[in-house]
Formats: sequence, structure tokens, C-alpha cells
Amino acid sequence: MSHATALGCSVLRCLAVATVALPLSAMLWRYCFSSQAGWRRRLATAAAVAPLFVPDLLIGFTYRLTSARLLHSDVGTELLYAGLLLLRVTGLQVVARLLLPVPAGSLEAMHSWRLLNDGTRAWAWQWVRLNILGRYRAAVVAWLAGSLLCFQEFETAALVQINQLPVVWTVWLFDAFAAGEPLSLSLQHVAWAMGFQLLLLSPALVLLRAAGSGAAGGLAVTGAVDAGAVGGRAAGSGRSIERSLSVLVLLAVVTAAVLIPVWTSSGQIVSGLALLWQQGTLLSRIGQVLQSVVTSVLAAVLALWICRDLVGRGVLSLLFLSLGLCGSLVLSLVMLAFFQLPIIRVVYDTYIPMVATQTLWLLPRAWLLLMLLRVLADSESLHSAGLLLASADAGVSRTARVTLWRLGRIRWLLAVSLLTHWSFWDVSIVSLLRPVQFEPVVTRLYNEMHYGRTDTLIAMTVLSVVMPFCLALLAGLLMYALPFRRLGRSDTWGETRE
Amino acid sequence: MLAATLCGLVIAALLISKFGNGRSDGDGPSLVVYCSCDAAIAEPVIEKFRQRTGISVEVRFDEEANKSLGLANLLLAEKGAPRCDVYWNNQALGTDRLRREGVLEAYESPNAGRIPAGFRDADFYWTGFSARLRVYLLNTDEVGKFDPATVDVMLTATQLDRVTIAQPVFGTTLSHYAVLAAQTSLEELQQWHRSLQQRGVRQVRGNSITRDLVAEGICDLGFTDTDDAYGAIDKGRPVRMLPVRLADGKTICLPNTAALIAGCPHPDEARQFIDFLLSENVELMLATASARQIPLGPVDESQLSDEVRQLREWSRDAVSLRPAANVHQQVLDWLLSEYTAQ
Amino acid sequence: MNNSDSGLLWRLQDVSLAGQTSPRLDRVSLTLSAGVTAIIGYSGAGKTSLLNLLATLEIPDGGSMEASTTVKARTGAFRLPTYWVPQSGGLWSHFRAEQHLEAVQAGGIGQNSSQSRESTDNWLARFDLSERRQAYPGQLSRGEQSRLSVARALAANPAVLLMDEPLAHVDPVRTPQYWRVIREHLATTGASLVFSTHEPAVAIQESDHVICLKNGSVTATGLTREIYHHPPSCEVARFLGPINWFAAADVAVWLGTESATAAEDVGLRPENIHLTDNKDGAFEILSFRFGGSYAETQLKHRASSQVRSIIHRPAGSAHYEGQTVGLEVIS
Repeated sequence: MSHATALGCSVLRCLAVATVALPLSAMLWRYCFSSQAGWRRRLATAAAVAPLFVPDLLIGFTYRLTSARLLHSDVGTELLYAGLLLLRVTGLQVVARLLLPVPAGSLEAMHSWRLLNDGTRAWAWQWVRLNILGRYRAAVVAWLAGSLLCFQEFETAALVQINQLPVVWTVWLFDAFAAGEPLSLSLQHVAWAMGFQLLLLSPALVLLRAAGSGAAGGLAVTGAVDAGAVGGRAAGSGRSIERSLSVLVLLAVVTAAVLIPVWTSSGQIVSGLALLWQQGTLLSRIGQVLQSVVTSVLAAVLALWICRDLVGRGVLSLLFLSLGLCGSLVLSLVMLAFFQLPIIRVVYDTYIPMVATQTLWLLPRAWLLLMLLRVLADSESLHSAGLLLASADAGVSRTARVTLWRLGRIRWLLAVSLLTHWSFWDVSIVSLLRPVQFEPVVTRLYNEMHYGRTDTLIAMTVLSVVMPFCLALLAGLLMYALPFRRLGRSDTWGETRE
Repeated sequence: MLAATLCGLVIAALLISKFGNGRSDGDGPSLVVYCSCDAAIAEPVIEKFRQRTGISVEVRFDEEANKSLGLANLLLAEKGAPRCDVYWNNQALGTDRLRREGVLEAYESPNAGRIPAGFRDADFYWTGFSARLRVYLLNTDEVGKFDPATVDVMLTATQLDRVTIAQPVFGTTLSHYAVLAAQTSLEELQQWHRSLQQRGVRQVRGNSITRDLVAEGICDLGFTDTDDAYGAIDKGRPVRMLPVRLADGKTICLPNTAALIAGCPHPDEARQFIDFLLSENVELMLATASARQIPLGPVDESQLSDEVRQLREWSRDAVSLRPAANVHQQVLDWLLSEYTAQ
Repeated sequence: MNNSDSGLLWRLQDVSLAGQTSPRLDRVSLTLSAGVTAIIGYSGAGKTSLLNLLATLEIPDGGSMEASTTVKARTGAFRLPTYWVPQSGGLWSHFRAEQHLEAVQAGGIGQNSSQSRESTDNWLARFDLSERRQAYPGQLSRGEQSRLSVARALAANPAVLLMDEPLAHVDPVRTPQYWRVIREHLATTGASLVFSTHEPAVAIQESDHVICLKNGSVTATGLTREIYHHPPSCEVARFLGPINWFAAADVAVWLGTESATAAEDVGLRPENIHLTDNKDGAFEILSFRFGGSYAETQLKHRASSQVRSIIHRPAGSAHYEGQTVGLEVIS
């Protein structure tokens, strides 16, 4: 199979999956926002977003045997992989739709343009533009982000690819390099993939920027503006059918992405932990997880920090983002070669190459998240809460703290958590660039999986999921406890002002 | 705020890196070992060396992930300024590639003499110990008889869609192919490979998947290694194994190898470690571990299980790996063009 | 600065605030006193920037800014030193309308006393939001969001209220009733208000003091009535409503020699000008447009044939084209 075939299959798959996910995510989004009860809204949102936080390793491990059983069915194998991608892409698209505000007055703008219809091509082109920049902006960004996530996928593909199906460009590239293909040729191959990703990323960034300026004029109320209108479209029995369907889809998503992986491994959690305890390695495994979390958080914070400085630096920012789009494997190989250069070699066996590469790899994702955070950042809402901190009434100042925490710091924490999650579970970078004294938990997990040590594998996976989650909770509490104060001239309450 | 966060993270990283792995650095030199062997099996061996010599050891295990490029590639990349002292590989032909690339330094260990000449490099760039065998794994629910004739019948059938083999681009299957090419010729190997493909053999990504397919009854017959086969046998799966035999009746025995890295930072400690790996004690430790690795040198037979004694019996018929090492690169080049259409 | 400075709230000295191309505020020096102060100026003049500084949303890039203890710490019966109504409303997307009001009152959300709950109901009723109490900000119209933001600020009971174009999106018919609520609150609590507006009528009716801004600089500051009647320039005068501005050279022609005693421009409000039906008058009406409380008439000076528009109180009987009139200045 040639590189072009692999790339073509991956492109078609990512576009197809992102397209199929679009109506699903729209339906789930409508369901989330048409729910008046807060708990139902939160539960539905959590269920839709859950697949994004389930480690690829766990998904791949869970469905490896399913994939094996589909060995004799090419279509079945492809559908399984596409289905697993669909869970994650739908989750991402729901997040994008939940977060992106619908530009105020977009319907009026559309109608104003419709009235000017003179049947010319120029009119039609502007009509399409207005649609994309207006009412369909969130959907287009969601589709682009979903396609990108799908196209970059590697871990699940590597784990469920039993024979040569499904055909995935990332796996093809790995196989070719592992079999001796020179790095220069790999870079040539990856250039096509990068080009495609830039095609997806550029309009997403433009639309996100447009979303930012759109929100600045009004209240950044995260899609709720349109929710009523969207909810109102499906009326009566049609609406109840859609609600039932949404519940079914959410159940299916949670079952496939959370319940089945947890259920199939639940029996081995206790025995695995007991085995680690007997071996006397439980504490060192916990230390290993902590160490991995800290280095991943470092890369996540650095990526967000760099992106803040890169915003508005055209070519430079494009260069940095392009590096991240190479994918973790090729980027690691390039960085490995870079850190072998005589002058740089002195820092080779330190944390610097690994963290620097993780940071570069995270940059495109951090950029997208930063754009989203900026769209969401309503410094006036935050300041309205910040002023209440001066109240002598304990209840009022507590409410102010909760509001500042919820509208400000928690969003940054979520962004860091998501980036940390991606960095934590990526094995390519750490396997090539980690210092020799550091063994990240993810490499150990792959080792355990390869040798079929299921009990300890499951136990360590549970530690790797639960501990970062607990640390994120702890960080959330700490962020609540820390004093809220101004950060600088144009920063307020920890938020960047547009 | 950001500066404080970054400082905090760096300090935390340093602190955790000091204590996270639960290893004490000690005052002595830190030997660096790259190890492709199963971590759970290698760790007790390395711990024993630590206790015996007081030399602290930093180990880097291979992820063995489908998407990990492996330690051999890393050693090649680090060739200019190696940080690794000893490479403990679990397949000899991969190590021999490093010899050809100039990554290794010759070292004739005092314990190398106990290893048969077929399992070590002629110039002592690497020395083998504790081996695995290439085996056929058969599903006992699907196959009635477990003898070489049955396997021959299955492999000569017109349809092989219930026979599975790992992609030969990596691992021990690549070694298997190299042995076949050395026994016959590259052209004959290519013919055999294409014949398998034409008859629909299931090519999968790794021996552990081959094992799982047979263990689950999805395939009846699979090519794999003894350690993978025991992974299914120990779980009570309905499988049995037979050694893969070449046309001349020889078996394919793939040893671990110990090799000294050229220009390594701690050559003296590295030699001590290689001596230790090639000792009878280590071969016995690995023979009694779950992978049942086969001792290549003389050991106290009474300490071996019946299973290992059987494997040891089969390994006495092992083919020499030296001819395979010579054609290894040719086979790899052909496979690269075959699988990437380049 | 302390409270002994006879009701001074802020003193700004050469305060600057940088912008992307030009400064948003350029060496602004002024004092803000207790009472009601209106900030007026064209769009982009720096009104929001000045309010952002007072609300501590932003920090000046240069100059000094002193705040009295009234705006630095809680004093008297006030629950907060300052609170604000930003242009966007600054509402919290995860709170319902009524929760916005609960959040700023004693006890905070979910912990309100019966008195606070009653107060919440009262504020919702006074701003016609009772039926929208369960709505989230995204489900409110722009006008409702504006009202909720103002109601929240009043319920917070600060010593100084800062409002950036409050009630801007509210229908003009109901705006006066909400301004009445604000006025009553200020009178009851003794709080001060600093607000920006584009509407001259609101600035005149509601403020004691006025600050005029242009391109980030202060062009006039003082008592609203004083500035209204004696504006320093035509431009400042227009911020507070229609004006007839006569250049010094034209005063003799249009207002007669008696009015030309000083060689200065003269500004006259519509209510200061009365057109009298006079066959021997110096002017002829070229066109007349009735505008409710005032009319705009185009006059020709018969002797010199100069033409200009005059804004004035409409006479009891309608004027007509070709009518000969006199121009009377009313003090």
C-alpha cells in the first residue's frame, strides 16, 4: 500500500466521521440546552464529553479483541475504528458548539442580505460567507476541529489495527520509519498531511477570531442565545422524538466509551492493585503517575503561555503551529535529531527535549483552546463579580469568589487539564525523548499490555485516570482558595481581556 | 502567577524525578541499560545485580507499543554521544544491525564461553543468552491432531484465512524471515511470502495478536514465540504449541543479547553487567520466570521445569543465526518496499 | 485623599490610557465629586475608558489617580464601596435573573433572608422582570439584560454607582420610569452615580455635574446647568442639546448691535430665542420645520441676504414661508 492510499483513506475517513458526527452533536447540543433542569444539563454535557477524557489506550485495549473478531470483515474493522472515532469527535463537536457563541444579529444580517438578492455570483458568494460566519460558524468550527482530531489520531489506530486495516496514514508512517525509511523521506510524506491539516486549521482559526470579535459586542453567553431558537425549531412530537433519540445516543456513547471499558476491566482492578501492593511497587507506580502528570502539566502550561505570545505574529505562529501538526512521531524524530547536534547535546538527557517536544506538539491544540477561552472571556462579567469581593457580607463575597472561580479560573484549569490529558497519554514523544532516569507511566502501560500483564495494566490505568482527576479537583479547590487579584494592566481576575 | 506556576512545576518535577521511580541513586556510578525484555522479568535480574555489586542501574525499557520505534532506533540516533552503556535486546538480529551501524563495541566476556558459538557474534560484538523459540500455536478446539504433519497440511491448504502470522517488518517474525532467506534464498522467501498472501493468510501487527487470535478461536494456527504462547497457555486457553522446523529439521531459536555500547560513559560497570547477564544464575532466573526462556549454556538441569527441559531439547536443533544476520538487511529492504509500495 | 475633601470621590492627574493606535485617554486631569456626574462625548471619546478606570477594570498607563475612602472601602450603610453597570451588562451566564439579585444581597445565593428575598422581588418588579426571573442571561432580550444589570447594581447598594450607558437598549417609552427608580434609590441611600450617555436629555435631567470628553481629552467639566447655559464651545454645547451658535463676527447681523457688546461667540438655546411676527422685522422665513418642543427655521437677513438656520421655541401660531419676523433673545 502506498503513502498516497493511506493518506487518501485517512482524509476520507476524517471528513466522513466529522460529517456524521455533525448532526449527532447538534442534536446533543440542543438536548443539553433545552434542558431547563441544571442537573440534567450538566449530566448530558458530561456524558457527551466523557469520550474525550477516556484514554486511547483503554479504548484500544478494550476493543482489541472485538477488532480481532472482525479480522475476516474489512468493512467491520473499518466501521469499528470509525465508530470509536465518532464517539470522540461527537464529544469534541458538542464542546465546540457549547462554547462558541452564536453571533448576535446573525439572522437579521442574513435577511438583510437576502433582500439584496440580484441573482449574481457575487451575491451568492457573500451569502455563503455570511452563513459560514454567522449561523453556521459554530457548526463549521466543530466540523473542522472534529476532522483534525480524527486525522491526527494514532493510538487507537495502532491498537485496533489488527491486520492492515483500517488504513491510517499515521500508522503507515510509523511502519515505514520503523522498517528503515530515512527521516528525510518521512518528512516529505508528512508534508502532505501537514498541508491538509493547515487547510483545516486555518479556516477554524479565522472563524474563531471572528467569533471573538462577534462576542465582544454583546454578552458572551455561550450559545444560549440561539438555544431557544434552535430548541423551538423542533416542536411538538418531533421535539419529543428528538429528545428520546438524544437520550439513546448519550446512553450509547457512555456505554461504548465508559461503561464497557470499565466493566471489562473492573474485575482486574482490585486484583491488580493487590498485585502491585504485594510486589511492593504500588507507591513507586503512584510516584510514576505523579511524575508524568507534572511533566505533562508543565508542557500544557508552556503551550498555552507560548500561544498567548504567538497570537498576532502571523508567519512565526504558523511556523510553530506547523511543527505541532507533524504529529508526535515525526516531531519526536526531528527533535531527537535536533538535540543530537553538538551544541544542544548537553541538554539531551534532561527533561528539556521531552517537555519542549510535548509543548510543540500541543501548540495547535493549545491555540484552538486559547481562541475558545478568548471568545468566552467576558472580562466585564468577571469584574462585576470581582467588585463584590469588597462586600462585608460573607455570603456576597463567597458568591463572588464562586463566580470568579467558575467563569474564570475553572476554564483555564479545564484547558490545562485537556492539554495535560493529551500529553500524558502520548507515548511517541516520551519513548524517544525522555531522560533515562524518567519512566513515564504510559510507556510502562504499553510494556505491560504487550506482555499481557492485564491485572497490573488495568490497575495502573486506573491509577493513571483517577490520580490526574483527583489532582485536577485539588487544583480546582486550590484555585478557589487562592486570593483573586488583578494580574496586570490589561488582565483582570486572571482573564485576558480582548 | 504564571512564573510562580512554572517554578512550582519545575521544582515538583525535580522532586518527583528524584523520588518518583522509587530508585535510590546511591553514591556510585549509574549504569544505563536499555532493555527490550519484558520489564516485569528483567527487573528482578537487574535488582539482583544492584544488590550484588552496589552499582546503581538506570533502566530504560522498551514500550513494545505498536507505535514505539524501539530502543534500537534510539541507539542509532544517539550514536554520536551515547548515554547507554549496555543494550539488553530480546532478539539477536536487531542487535546485529547495530553492529553493522557501528553502535557496538566488541567485548569477550569471561562467561561468553559457556554460550554455544551459534548464539554469539564471531567478534563478540554481542553475546546471546536465554532464548525463545519460534513456534506454531494451535487451537485445540479447532484442530484435532497436534503433530508436524497436521501443520504441514494446514499450511499447504489452498485457503489460509484461519492461519495467522505477524507482519514480518518487525520483531521475531523478521528474524524468522531472515533465517528462511539464509536457508534458501531471498527469491524463495519472496515466493513463499506471496504464496501465503495469495492464499489469504491473516497478517497482523505482532506475535501477541497472533496468539490472541488463536486463543480466541478466530484462527486455528498461528506463528508466534514461546513466551507469547505461554501467555495463552497460562491463562488456560485451548492452545498447544509445536516448534517451527525448517526444511532440514532445524528449529529457530532467538536469544536475548548483551552488547556493550561503543563510547559508553561507564564501560567498566557495563562489562560487569554483561558478565552477570551471561552467567548461569541469570539464565536460571529467566528460565523459571513466566516466559520460560531457554538457557543456552550449561545450567543445573534439576532446577528447570519439564516445560523448559522440553524447550531446551528443541533448541538443541537450532539453526545458526550468523547466516541470517548476513541477509537481514536485504530482507528488511525488500519488506520495506513490499509494505510501503516505494 | 480623604473624606474631608468635601465630597470628592476621585482626583485624576495627567492620567493616560494607551490604545492600539492612539491613546484612549490622554493626560486627563479632573476631579469627581459626590452626587450625579454624567460623562458625555462622541463615540470613541473615551467615556468607557474613563469609567473602566474608575471601576478599576483597567489601570492607567500614566499619571496618578487618587480615590477617596468612600470608593476604597465600605462606609456607612453601604454594602460596597463601588459597583458598576458595564455596557455589555456584565451578567453571569450561569445565573438566572433572580440569582443575579440574590448574589449581591446579604447572604449571597441561596442564603438570603426573607428581607433580601422580598428585596429581590421588589427589584424584579420595579424593573419589570418578575416574569423573567427564571431566565438565564442568554434567554433575555438586550433591553431586559440592561435592566437586570442596573437592578443588580442598585441591589448591591454601593456608595458609588458607575454606569456605562445604562438602559441603552431599553425602549425609550419606559426609560424614564427606570431612571426614576435610580433617582429614588440615590435619594434614599445617598449614593453617588457616575454614568456615561449619548442622550443630552438624560445628562441634563439626571446629572449635577458633567464631564465632556473628546479624543481622550477633557474638553469641559463643571456643573451641568452652568455648562448648559454657558458652554465654552459650540461642540460642548451640542452634547447637551440643540444650540444656536453665533460666531462673534455674525452676532451683530443676527442678534443686533446690542448683543455685540463683547467680541466673543454667543450660544443660545432654543428656549432663549423667540421669533416674533413683525412686518418690519429684519428677517424673512425661507423654510419652517416643526419639531415638537422646538422648531428649526431657515432665516434670511433681509439687509445682507445672509441665510442660516435657527432653532427656537415654536410660536403659538405656526410660522410660514415668506413671513417677515424679528428675533428676540430671552434671558
